[in-house]
Amino acid sequence: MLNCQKASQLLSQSLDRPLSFRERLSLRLHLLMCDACRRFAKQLRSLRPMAAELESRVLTDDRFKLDERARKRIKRVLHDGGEQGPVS
Amino acid sequence: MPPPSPPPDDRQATDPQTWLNAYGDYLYRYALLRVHDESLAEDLVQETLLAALKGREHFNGQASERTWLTGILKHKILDQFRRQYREVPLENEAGADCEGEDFGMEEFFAADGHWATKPGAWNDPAKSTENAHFWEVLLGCLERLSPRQRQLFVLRELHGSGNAEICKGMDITPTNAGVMLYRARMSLRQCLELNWFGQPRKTEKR
Repeated sequence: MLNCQKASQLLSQSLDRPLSFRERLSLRLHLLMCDACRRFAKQLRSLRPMAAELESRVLTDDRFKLDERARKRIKRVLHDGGEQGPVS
Repeated sequence: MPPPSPPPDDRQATDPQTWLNAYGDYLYRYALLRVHDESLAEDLVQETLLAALKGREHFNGQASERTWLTGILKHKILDQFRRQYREVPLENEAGADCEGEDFGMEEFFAADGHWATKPGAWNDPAKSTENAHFWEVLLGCLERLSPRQRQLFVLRELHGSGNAEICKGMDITPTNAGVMLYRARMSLRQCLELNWFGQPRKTEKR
């Protein structure tokens, strides 16, 4: 019989690899009987879409910017790198 | 007579200074979300643009410039993770050398394998994602993961890498990767519950 700890591990693994038939079956049986794990499963699965939306928000978030000092430094490095760049 | 119009200028499009102006902030944000360290993110942007400059003849124009640059950055981040992963001594990461079935999550479960504290009901998750503050909390929770857990989570959920790619890239076993991802998810879920979903909030009426 699967306990909650093992069920939570399988739930996490199911996000990374296909579970075997036996694993799926025992997980399904456990979830039928355990509302705490059903709740957990839903929450765990919501992390992936949350991460994706966080990313799209951060990528367009104007509070995060290369500061001027870094920008100047990179500009200089690129300029120097360009001088000795490969001859085409 | 006017001079003939110049041919479409490719040089302009592959000028590194233009890259910096056009994509610098984008690349910086991309890196920052993954490494959670401003100066490291700046260095990664610099390395990326420098590598792009040196390899610009490899840019075939099939992808957009931004996609091409992001691809380079993605590799730089993986290299960075691999270096860091090796540098952090194992003893700084509780149970990091886990073998087999030892997932080392005793704090979440009682000895009989039942939840020590049952996962709580989440307060209106659909609405949460509309709240700007929620994303700050999620960012904070990510930041609180141990470096290894965060790296694995980032590779899996942000880079979208599969198991095989992660294990090869980080030079770890599938078991190890699975354990790290499990811990990262357990910690993130708990952090969100403690800091957001479990908190009573005033419901905004519309």
